[in-house]
This record gives sequence, structure tokens and C-alpha cells, in this order.
Amino acid sequence: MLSKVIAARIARLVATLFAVSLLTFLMVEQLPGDPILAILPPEALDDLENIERIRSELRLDDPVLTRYGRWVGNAMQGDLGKSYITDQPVSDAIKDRIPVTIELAFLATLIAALAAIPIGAFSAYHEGGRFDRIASAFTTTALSIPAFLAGIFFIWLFTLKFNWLPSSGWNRITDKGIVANLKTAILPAGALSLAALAINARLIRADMIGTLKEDYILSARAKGLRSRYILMRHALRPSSLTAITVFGLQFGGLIGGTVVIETVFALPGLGTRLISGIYQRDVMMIQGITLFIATVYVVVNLFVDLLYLLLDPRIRRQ
Amino acid sequence: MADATTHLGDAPLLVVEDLATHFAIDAGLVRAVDGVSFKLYPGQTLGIVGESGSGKTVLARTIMRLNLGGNVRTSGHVRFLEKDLLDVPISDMTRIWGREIAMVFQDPMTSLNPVVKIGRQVTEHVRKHFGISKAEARNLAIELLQSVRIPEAEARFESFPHELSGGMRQRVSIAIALACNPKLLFADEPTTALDVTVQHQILNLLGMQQQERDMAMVLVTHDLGVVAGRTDEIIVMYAGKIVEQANTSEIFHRTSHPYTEALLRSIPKIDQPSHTRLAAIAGRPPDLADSLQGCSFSPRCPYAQERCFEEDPQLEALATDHLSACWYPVGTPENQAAWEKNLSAGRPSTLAIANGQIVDDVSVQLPSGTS
Repeated sequence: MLSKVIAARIARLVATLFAVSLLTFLMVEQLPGDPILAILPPEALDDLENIERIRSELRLDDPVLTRYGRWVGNAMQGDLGKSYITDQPVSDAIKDRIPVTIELAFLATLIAALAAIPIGAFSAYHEGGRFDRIASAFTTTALSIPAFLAGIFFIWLFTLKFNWLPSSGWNRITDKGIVANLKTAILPAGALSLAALAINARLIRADMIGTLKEDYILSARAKGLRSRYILMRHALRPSSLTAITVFGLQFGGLIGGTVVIETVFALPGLGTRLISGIYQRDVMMIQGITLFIATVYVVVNLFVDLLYLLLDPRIRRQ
Repeated sequence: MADATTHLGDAPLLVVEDLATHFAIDAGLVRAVDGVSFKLYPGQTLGIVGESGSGKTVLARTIMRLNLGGNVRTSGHVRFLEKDLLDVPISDMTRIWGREIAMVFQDPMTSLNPVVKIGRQVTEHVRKHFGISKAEARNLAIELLQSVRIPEAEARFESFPHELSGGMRQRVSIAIALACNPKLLFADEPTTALDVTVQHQILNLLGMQQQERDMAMVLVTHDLGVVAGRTDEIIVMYAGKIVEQANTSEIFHRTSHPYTEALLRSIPKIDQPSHTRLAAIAGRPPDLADSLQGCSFSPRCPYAQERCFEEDPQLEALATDHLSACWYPVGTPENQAAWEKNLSAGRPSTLAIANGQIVDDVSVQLPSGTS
């Protein structure tokens, strides 16, 4: 039963990825401008024979579907092709850039989750009270500020005003250790997390308000347990099921969402590479990175579904 | 009465005096509990009986101080162990709840947390109240689960509530309530949500545990059949007030209030021929947000006379330890006269009982013969 469910989910995942790959391919195909013209230096553009030779070397003269089929076929074997501009294999570029993006998305998800749990829980417990009203004002603000603006504000506050943290650049954990790494990561991750944090806090609050009305909360009170214990032990876990799903989806979403924030903080992540790929008409790079981000997103979703099974014993036994 | 005398030497465990719980809502003030007084002695069992909406659950939760919300107003006194519970700050109630006073709730499907293991739910408050170790708590819990007749108690310790049947879950709830050896146990309709076959087992279990532990118990129910033979004293509630109060055999043998009589009549009897219509009480309990004039049962009462619609009868002693609030108590000549008068005047709720019919509409209230 359970394995059937998992098999069905995996089949759906594969179908989704095919759709994503096709859409990406067609979209890049629609980009104005000829990739060959972007590859060649301006003085080489007059030599039409040369252009056609390169086009057939790169097999860009094949029909669209043939090229799509070749790309997907290779991608399934782990070969995402090479950049037309730098000749760097796309998978190498991803390998090189992914740690920054993953770390940012992970940190942002973590901040959003950890901060939202107490905010949401106590707002729900004191529904309509002072804490609830302040938290609500904060979440409204956080939701209406775009991440890049929050990033710019953070740079102004923490770099220009207090000079606590650097405004750009990246220290790799492997080179400089975790503290130096976090110094460069915390501002972009914080800016990235704000909207997700606000959504989570509201979600947890709404869910907890419902949970706190359940009979088992009343019976927990009648046992003489303390409010904080009831909140954390008895109310949070039933409410966390929805939250966990959202956390997972956010992580997937934030991997794509880092594109803008990496640019603001000039970080060597996947997003900045994707952007430069778009500027340079680096077709293979755009396709490869987009497909990779989509893959991470759907795989994360699958794991979220499986985690759900672990967390809710009622689902687990079915 | 025998029980009242055996406890004469003891101080009462719980004294409720003129307790009132009012909810302020948009439609007005709901008098869910209105001037209730009673005493409960150690080891005694009190039955609180009434229809849905009669205020019995609110009464139990007011005494425990559990039905809290911003719009509740409580007055009166609840003396328990030298303290007036209504004066205890809520933060200090956590030391009384579960330890001195415990509660078994109506629906074991919803009163246990679905994602917390049985073991933790049985032990967490014991550990909090007595500060015992995890291992000690585990042993105690297994002992408790065994004492409430849960098979394979050790395995059940690791189970989640959904893996148990309704009856088993209610046993778990009872084990939770008994865990700290409380002096007073509230059982709020503990069998209403259960199969009929399981109801008796649960009631017997409660009774046995109560005797073993010499614990006082308040059994809240809508079913007089449930309390028969299991309580020392019975309080019958209607529209937030006590309408009759006496020891159990007195209430059954010398029923005084027409509402109690109606409740008794509505218990199906085994010696009735099959397909006999169940006796229902005509009409519905009154909306407590309306201000009532006269006796609140009068619109549904087969004996109601003019006086009943104008003056609210007070709870008065008919005999020692038998209180009733009625102008025409059952079994008196006045009651008989009122019955005949209503019958000849054709009052629908009276005729319905005379003919064994069910009447839902009691909008025709005044017996025409009396005006």
C-alpha cells in the first residue's frame, strides 16, 4: 500500500520533470537573438560560412524536437552539456555554485521555521492580545517587503551603519570555517527568509488557534500541565504537520528565490550564474540550471510527502 | 439518607454555594448555571442529571474552573479542601488539576491527543505533580493501565490512541484521571459516546476504582438509568437550576418534580411490549438567553397551572434531604387535581402523556381551562 503510494509519487515526479524540461527548452528557444552570434567575437560575424560551420558543429541546425530529444537524453545520463561560451560543462558549473545556493536556501528556511514557531504559537495562545497584535503588524510588514529591498536595508543597517557584517562576497566553509562563512551568509539568508517567516508565523498561528480548541487540549489542562508544556507538546505537533509541508515547499522555492538575493549580495551562487547565462545567451547553461532547480524542487517535495508519513502516526499505519 | 448519616462526622469535601455561571453573548446573558448549591462528602458519589443544555457540564467545568473564556462571569463559592476554588488564581489551579481534582471527558475519541503516545499521556502529569523519574512513571502507568483492565498494558504504553477502540480509550482516560489519586473525580458523560455494551463495563470500572481509592465522584449524565444504583445522591438540573435533589432511592421511589418524572418516563423499559413508542418529553429546553418568567419547565409540564407561568418555585425541603422546586409536586393531591384540570382542558403536553404520544410543539402554553 505504502510502496504503491510512493511509486505513484515518483511517476508523477518524472512526468513533472519532463514537462519542465520541455517548457524550459521551448522558452529558451524563443529568446530573441542567435546563440551563435553571442559566441563569436564581433569581427567574426561577417564570415557566414564560418557561422554555418559552427552551427552544424554544435548541431544547432537540427530540428527543434531532435535537439530537445538529444538534450533530455543526455540529461538523463547526467550530461547537461557544455557552455557555448566558456566550454565549461554545465554540471561542473552547478557543482561549483550549488553549495552557496543550497546553504542560503537552507539557512533561510531554518530561520523562517525556527522564528515562526514561537511567534505563531504565542500569538495563537494569546489570540487578540498585545503580543498577537505586534506579531501581526510585523508579519504584514515582512510580507509586503520584497527580499531584495530587505537585503538593501540590511546592508545599510548592518554594514554601513554598524559595520558588523560584510555587504557582499562569500566565505566558503571549507576555506575559512563556519563562523566566517555565516558572517557572509546571514544577511542574505535573513533577507531571503522574511516573507517565508511571515507566512509561517501566520500559518502556525491559524492552525494552533484551531488546535487549541480541541478537546485534548482541555483534557491536558485538566491534568494540571503548564501552559507552555501544553503549547509545545500537545498543540504544536498536530499543528506542525501543515507547517512541515510548507517548510519543505519553501526550501524548494527558495532555491529558485536566491537568484535575486545572490545578485544583491554579489554571491557566487547558482542564481548569479543563471543570470549571467541569460545575458550571454548561454543556452545550455540556462536550460541546465533551470532543469536542475526544478529537479531539486520536486525531489524536495517528494521528501516532504514522505516526512508527513513519519510525523503523523495515523497516516503511517494506513 | 443512609449515606448522608454515615458521613455526618466527616467534613464535606466539596461545598458549592449559590454558584452561578453566566455567559455574556450578543443575544443577552446566558444563565448556564444559576444559583446551584450542594455538598459532597469524601468517598461519596453525586449524580448530576439533565438534558443537553441543562447546564450540567458547565456546572462541572465551573467547579473545576475549566470553561474559561473572556465572557464568563462566575459568582458564588466552591469550597474544596479549605479553599474557595473561585478565589484561586488560574496559575495555581495547575497544582490542583489532575492532582486533587481530575476529570474524565465525554468523548475518548477527541479527549486524547492523537499524536502523543498513550504512555506519555498517562504519565506526563504524574511526573509533573510528583517529580518522579521516567522509569518510575512507566511502572506506575503500566500498573494503572492494568488496573483499568487494559490487556497487554506494556505494549499499549507505546501505542497511539487511534490504535485502541473507544472503550479502551475511555479506560485510558480513566487511568489518566486516576493517576495522581485525586480526591475528587468528575466524570462528564463518560459513557455517552460509547457502545451500549461497553457502557456498563466503564461505569462498573469507575465505581470499583472509586471504592478502592475512597474517592468522591461527580457523575454527570443525561441518563437516569446510568446513575441508578451507582450514586448516593442525585441532583436533577433544568435550565441551569437544581429542580430536585435527594438521595438516589428517594428520587426513584418518591419522585417529586415533574421534570424528574418525565426523565424517568423516558427510560425505555424492558417489560414493555416491543414497538412501544419511546416516551419523549414534549418541547425543548428553554433558550437560556431569554429572561424567563415563572417556572422554566412550565411550558413543557403536563401539570402546569397559571401560577407556574408567573412565579418561579424555589427549592424547598419536602422531607429531610429531599429538595424539590415545584408548586404541584408529583404524588400530592394538588398535583392530581392539576393533572385532571389540564386533561379536561385538553392541554397538548398533558394529553400526549395520557395517550402516549410525542408532542414537539408546545407553543400553546396556557391551559385554556385555567384562564
